[in-house]
Amino acid sequence: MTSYDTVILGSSASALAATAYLARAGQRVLLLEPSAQIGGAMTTDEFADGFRADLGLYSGRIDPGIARDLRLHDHGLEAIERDTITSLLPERRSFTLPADREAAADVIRGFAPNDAARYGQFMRLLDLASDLLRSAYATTPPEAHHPSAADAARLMALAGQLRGYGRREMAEVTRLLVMSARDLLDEWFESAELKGLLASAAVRGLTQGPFAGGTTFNLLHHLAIGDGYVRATAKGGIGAIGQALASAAQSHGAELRANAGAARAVVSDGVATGVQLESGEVIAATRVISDYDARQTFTRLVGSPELEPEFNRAVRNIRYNGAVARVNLALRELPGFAGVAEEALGGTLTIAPSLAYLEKAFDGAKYGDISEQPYIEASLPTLADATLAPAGKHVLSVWLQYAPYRNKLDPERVRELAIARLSEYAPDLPSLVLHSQVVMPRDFEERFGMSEGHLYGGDMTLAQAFFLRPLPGFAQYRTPIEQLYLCGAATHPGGGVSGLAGRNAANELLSDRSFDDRR
Amino acid sequence: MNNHRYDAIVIGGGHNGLVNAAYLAKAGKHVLVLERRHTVGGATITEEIYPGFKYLIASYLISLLRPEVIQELELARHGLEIMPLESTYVPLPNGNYLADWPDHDATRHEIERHSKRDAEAYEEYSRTMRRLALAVRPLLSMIPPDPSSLSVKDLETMARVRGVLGAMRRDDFYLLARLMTMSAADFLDEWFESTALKGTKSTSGIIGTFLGPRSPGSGYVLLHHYLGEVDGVFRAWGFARGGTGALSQAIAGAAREAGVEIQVNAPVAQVIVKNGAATGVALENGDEYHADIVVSNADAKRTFLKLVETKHLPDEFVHDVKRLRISSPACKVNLALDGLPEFTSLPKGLTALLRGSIEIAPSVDYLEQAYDDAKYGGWARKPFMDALIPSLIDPGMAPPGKHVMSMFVQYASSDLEGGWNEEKKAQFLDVVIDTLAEYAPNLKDIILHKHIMTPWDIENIIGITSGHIFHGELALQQIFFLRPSPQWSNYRTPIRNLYMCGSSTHPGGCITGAPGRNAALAILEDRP
Repeated sequence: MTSYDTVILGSSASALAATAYLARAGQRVLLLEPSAQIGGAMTTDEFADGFRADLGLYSGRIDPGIARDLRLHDHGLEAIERDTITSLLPERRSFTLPADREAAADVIRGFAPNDAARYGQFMRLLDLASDLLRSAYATTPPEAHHPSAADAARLMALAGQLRGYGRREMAEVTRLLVMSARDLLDEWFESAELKGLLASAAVRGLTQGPFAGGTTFNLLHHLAIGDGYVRATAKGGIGAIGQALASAAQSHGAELRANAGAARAVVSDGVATGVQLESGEVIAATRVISDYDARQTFTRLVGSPELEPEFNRAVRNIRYNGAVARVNLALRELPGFAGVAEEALGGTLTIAPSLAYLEKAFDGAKYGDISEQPYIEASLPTLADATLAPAGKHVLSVWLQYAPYRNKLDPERVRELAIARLSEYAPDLPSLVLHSQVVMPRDFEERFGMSEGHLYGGDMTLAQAFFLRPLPGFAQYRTPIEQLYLCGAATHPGGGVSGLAGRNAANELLSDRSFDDRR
Repeated sequence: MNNHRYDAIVIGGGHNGLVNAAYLAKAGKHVLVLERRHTVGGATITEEIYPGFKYLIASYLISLLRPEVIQELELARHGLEIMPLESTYVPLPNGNYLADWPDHDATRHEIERHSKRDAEAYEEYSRTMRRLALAVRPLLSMIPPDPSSLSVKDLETMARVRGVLGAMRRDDFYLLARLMTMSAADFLDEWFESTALKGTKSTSGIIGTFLGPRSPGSGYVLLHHYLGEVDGVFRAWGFARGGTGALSQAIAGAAREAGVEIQVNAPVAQVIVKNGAATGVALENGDEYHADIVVSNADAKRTFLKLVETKHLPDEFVHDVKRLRISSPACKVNLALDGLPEFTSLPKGLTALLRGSIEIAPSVDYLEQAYDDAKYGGWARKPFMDALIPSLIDPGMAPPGKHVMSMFVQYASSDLEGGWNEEKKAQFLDVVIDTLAEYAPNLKDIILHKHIMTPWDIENIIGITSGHIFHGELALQQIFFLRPSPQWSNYRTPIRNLYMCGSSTHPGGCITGAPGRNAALAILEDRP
């Protein structure tokens, strides 16, 4: 029986990054992915003959430091910027904000001159806050109650960065972290349309409306990982990030196995010693890292009898309630969006005309219903990457909120809803659809083991962030089971394809190993 | 033109203004309180709007009043008598009910009727909330530090805050960190399964707050309301004999005894500022009063956008005050009744429950729906209510055989679409009465007189911006060292010798007396 230094269960960007870093450090590493494709839910799937589309997350970028360390460019990673964001408005109006802030302010000046004057200052404030977050994301979250010396040093560094912003900005950034997106945007802007569009990134992937406290944090999270208003994907689709990471990991000697689902972690006397596959095969390892969320890890991979009742209770209390449905449409030709310039079609198209619209889209989800007026984002990835569809044909990839997990929604209804809403802006859309794919929260759970279909491993709220993610007291990638670690979106810094959780987890594991070696 | 000189002038005779004046006078200052209305108390008043019936037109219960205020001002000697209000009765639409008794075991037994598991959890929940409240209570009487400052005093206070948090049990610290940003409903879901119990327990997270029980941030408000229930002096919510107005009278008594002059019918038009320093106030009738310091009990918006000319203030500060969120969802309804309402779900032998709170809060979804109705500028079609019948506790509140009912009602937006007017007030009052009559069908037959204070009325009559009972929402971006504005949370203002002592300052709303007392401590630091 072969034995590994570390076995990693799951294959998100974080899992692959952890694999690559550990292999690079000389470990013998094996990664196991239950599905046929490395990447799990971060996959670009052929959903119809010749048409490929992202299944789950459909934008994001790997952390630049990780890309450098692992030379991902050499492994074929090529980023595609999706750098405009268009608001689709009633009566076939629209406006498009480019990434360049002065150019964006010029656009805003056309309908809200006062807002245009404040746009640059607003974005600079968001920069300060998201820079702070980025610093916090680059390391293991410090324990806040009684910090160790290392934790205290990290806290001091963050406090020092904040203090360096100056007295006024320090307070402004602090406020931002706890505010609702509504409160924030009301402070800065007058235009309902502008506020709606800017709030969309604050509720993306979250089962909350923009009136909810802490939604600004979700906005900052997206900005910090480079997936805010200016988005990116990879040539070949989001799955190409996984492929590049996989290639990098393999180049350092890691083994990657698809179609190899772990049934459980093997634990004896509170220490993880390996994994057992669904086939019954047992693989021994010194350490095991779970890429799964905390509920999956601590109820499916590790039985709750192995854990303390208090811990099990904390696991039960994690909020998931995924509410993102994905719809991919294979199109005969490029649809025309009335009033939207052709170059804007390559960016993100958003239906979020006001704060109240977004909040109302969420209202039903509280009671388990889907709104007839959902928050929708869409992109046409084939415009920048012709490899994703047969010549002349296109893919429209739709992100729809809120389709709450707890309601067993009919996917057909979601498909019709997405097409109906988008055809208000693109009247020829229904006639162009050749094939379609709908992925509901329940599908994400069943196919990829994501609890309640949550794409971010648990809601990105303040109560589940930093030293509280995924569980208070276990935010430093370690678990109550010795030699069992976590590295997925469930851990700090949360959802997305940055890979940071994997790098942080690998660092913690390596520091434990060197400690063990000294022992 | 009159000319008068004092050490300190307090603008507004609300309970915090009176507390502040009393503390300053006890420290030897010559203090004048100027109150706009015919009586002191601000929102802490009892009024006989319908002859013979005493209405609690604004605040109605006392629980968070700081024990040090009661003791140091000897309020009992000045006539304050608190009668415990210990039970809660929650009628349910299905004809059942949930009760909370003064006796812990009785409550446990009652909860068992709804869920055995919840009865168990209730024990631990009560202990945990008590521990959390005790742990963070020291923060209430603290002058908030400025974390951006490197002054010795601020660094010391920061160390004290860290000390308070560091002294907590680890699991309590984590719970507190989560509760601060969670929704009340999510928090209660972690403890309980019974719909009715979660409904009534979640109301502490929404009182006075434009949030639903499922809104993140309501967890903090829940904690805020728990802080009073552990004071030792009161075990629970209390009712002042004579209504909350009697509390104001007691504080005014203590203030007068210490030498405070109180003038009613004396509306202040402006704070007089010379060379960046407050030197006194001018009344609407042109009279001027001069003092070394001026303290405003008014909310921050009224103080800095109406009473002070903005040219005296830094732009940044004016910006901060303008952006302070102050939307209010809260109304007060008072009814004069010819008899007692008969609740269909109340068992015959349990009429004692009418002496406590009567809550229309059957479930979290009911409350959330009420919030959803109002949050876009409307009002709840089925409102949340926290009612009591003061005349059952204190017979002096109504003529013999008759009763008065006080109802705190949410949600009706201060930013009602199209604005409030008399017709809309009457419509919403009907909604309130119709809703309550579903639980007590005889209600409409026994109403002698009805009265509503919408946020619009609270603003017009009492003078609080948007009628917000907390002088600004208890949102996380405007509490502690951020309330009402970063760097100005220590009761001082950008204008020298002008201070704040109202609920726009730490620790915020409710009848606590803490802003008044803390502000006096800050003033006495500057001018011993």
